[in-house]
Amino acid sequence: MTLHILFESPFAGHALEECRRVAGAGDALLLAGDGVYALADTAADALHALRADGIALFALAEDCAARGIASAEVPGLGAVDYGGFVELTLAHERSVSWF
Amino acid sequence: MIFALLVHDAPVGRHSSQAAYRFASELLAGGHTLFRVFFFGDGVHHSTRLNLTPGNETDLPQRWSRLAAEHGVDLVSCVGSALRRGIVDEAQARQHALEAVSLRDGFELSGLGQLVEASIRCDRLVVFGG
Amino acid sequence: MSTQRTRSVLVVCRSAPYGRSRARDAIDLAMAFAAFEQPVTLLFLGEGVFTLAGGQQPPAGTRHLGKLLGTLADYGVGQVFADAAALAERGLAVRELALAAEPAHDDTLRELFATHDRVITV
Repeated sequence: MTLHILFESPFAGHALEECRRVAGAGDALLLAGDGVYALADTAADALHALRADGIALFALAEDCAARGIASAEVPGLGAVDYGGFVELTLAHERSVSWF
Repeated sequence: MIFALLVHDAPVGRHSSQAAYRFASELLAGGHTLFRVFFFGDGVHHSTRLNLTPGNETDLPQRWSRLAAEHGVDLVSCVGSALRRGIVDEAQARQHALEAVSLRDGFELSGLGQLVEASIRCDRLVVFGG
Repeated sequence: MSTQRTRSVLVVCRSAPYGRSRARDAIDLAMAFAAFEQPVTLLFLGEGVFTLAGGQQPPAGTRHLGKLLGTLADYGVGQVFADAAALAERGLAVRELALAAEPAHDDTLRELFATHDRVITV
């Protein structure tokens, strides 16, 4: 199982799209840095599709807070700190960074 | 668990470089081992000793150097990337008659073999870029 | 500490060849892992497939990546894949590529990402 880490806004490039194409059931996606802009309402379809494919969603809480995104109000999203980030890398065999 | 990190981007102007440092600090605080951090491409700018950072901003080169001293972390900048970007150690400065040494204490210059070794020896390799 | 001597590595190139140095970096990384006898797969994904385009004529002083690709096999990088959807989207025909990379559809891509010990994106 793989942890995908998205550092790029889905409005800035194709990283999220490419991540979606290669991720499989049981993988997880952590939104970090500008990756948290994937939580914008207009990007919701992509996240719904990932969830439907069996991919667990997480976001770095401080990156959400910095950008004025209320991560706690997003259903099904795990808000984590850096300790949680480390735990996620341990819980998955490999990580893939998208930037 | 043993970690290794690959850092692609410069310390200034890039979020992922802050993230790499925070991740490293946190894994060490959690009792894990950080075997090596390999700085590649623009990532080698982390290993300069000639940067000046305003007091209210995080000086990542200095922080990494301190982390290395406290926890025995191996900090390696890719020699090919470094020489192109003005990061030179004493031996290189002498060999090429350059007027300054710019590599910060705690960092060393070496080849990609160090990244390969890190990949073999660690349990988790995490890449930071963008 | 693990006594394992090899870890399979998937190097993923997501950048076009001449605008930035990332494509060159990806090729260098793949060659380095292969030189140290690690099983390496190189994947050109999304925009990265432009690195495979035939007919590249970079100016003097710029490394010719099309030619560099031709030396991958000598370094022992045996497995090279190209994102089939990205090739089609960009009008690149497999037979005209600078290197005969194997086209990978989404199921193959998923398998590549799920089966290597390490994944290094560049």
